[in-house]
Amino acid sequence: MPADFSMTVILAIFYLVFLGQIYVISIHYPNKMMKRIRYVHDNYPPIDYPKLYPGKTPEFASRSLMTRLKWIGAYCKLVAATGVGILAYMLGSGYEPALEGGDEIFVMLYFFLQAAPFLYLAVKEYQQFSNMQAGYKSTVRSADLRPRRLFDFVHPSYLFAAVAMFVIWLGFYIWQAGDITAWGGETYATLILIMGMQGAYALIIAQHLHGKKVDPYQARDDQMRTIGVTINILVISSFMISLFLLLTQLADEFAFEVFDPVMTSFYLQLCLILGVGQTFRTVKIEDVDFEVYRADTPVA
Amino acid sequence: MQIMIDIDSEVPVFSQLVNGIKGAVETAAIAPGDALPSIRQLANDLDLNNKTVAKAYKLLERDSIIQTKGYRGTFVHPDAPKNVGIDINAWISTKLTDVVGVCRDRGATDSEIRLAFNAAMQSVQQSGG
Repeated sequence: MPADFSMTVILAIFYLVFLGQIYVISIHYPNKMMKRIRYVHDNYPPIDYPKLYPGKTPEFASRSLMTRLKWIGAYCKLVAATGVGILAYMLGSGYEPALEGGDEIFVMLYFFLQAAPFLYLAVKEYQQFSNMQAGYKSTVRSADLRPRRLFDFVHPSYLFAAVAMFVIWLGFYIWQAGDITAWGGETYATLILIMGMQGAYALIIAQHLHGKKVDPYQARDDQMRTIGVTINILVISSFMISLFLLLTQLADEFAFEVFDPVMTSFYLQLCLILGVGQTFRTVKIEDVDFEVYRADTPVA
Repeated sequence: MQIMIDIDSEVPVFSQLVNGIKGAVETAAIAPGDALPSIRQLANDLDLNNKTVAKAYKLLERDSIIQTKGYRGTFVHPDAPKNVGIDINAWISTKLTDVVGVCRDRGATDSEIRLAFNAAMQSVQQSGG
């Protein structure tokens, strides 16, 4: 541990950042998300917009949605309370983070508990789109006669920054692996995992640019907005992953591992802010064309 | 500019695509040099097979309505507004009617004309035309 930082300061920073994690991931964004879902349901109900709730009767769609929201709300409150309980226990028991690092695993485990509702809703959304595809009956189809190009959706400097950060991390990782630690199975596994993840991001971007519309009814402008947000989030995520890996390696290099839990917690919050938060900021419900989901709308 | 197709129409889908793009050129909705979507993008957007869109693009390229510039993509041909009015099928029909008429004037029978036509087609095919 560096001599300039006393354990009290380190702990104070950790408690503040961890409190932020509890608030941002288990209170702020779940509330925003549920408010958004309720707004859509109340203003565009299943009885008038059946295509938005495929495969269900209007009554059942409303009832199951409200039940789901109630459970998600209760779960998030429980996880937030658990987080505060953990913090109180740490304070009471005189917890001190391990100087050699490793405590970030608990931050990660708690994050997985927090992220469960987001994952659940993502799976539900996927099912909703699958049902929409299955129920899509229109024989008249339309398409834009313009190509969708990557730089129409993301600024070149963002992409350049993401690629540059990845190259910097890769260079540092290879240098560190050769210079400080020996090349081994773990080194190769990390390289393959991270490169695979970045490759998967590239494939998802290509799929969004040239692949099928996930929501067959979606209006053109909404589709463009969704593609733009998704691509920007993926590019920013790519940058963030490389930056985070670089920072944790630098912490190892300069014996700052005691800050790993703080960095991990901060990073996870930032991911939510830049991912879910960015989607909320860019795709405003008021701007979405819901008329395409009415029963009598012929073609998107 | 949007292109629309009806998969229940009696007109083949590839013809609807060809007509749609020609129509867009005629109405100046797309201009020479404008980029067009890739085959994959258009096929996915219209939920069609890639081969259907590829066939339409091939016909449009033959008629010099569009041109493919390798990896850079597909663009509206510089002469597209001029070529869009040319109906290749009508042109073939006119040319062949003239040739058949000349052959008949010289006393050739229908079967002689058919045999000669087939032989000419084979000859062109063999010479790689």
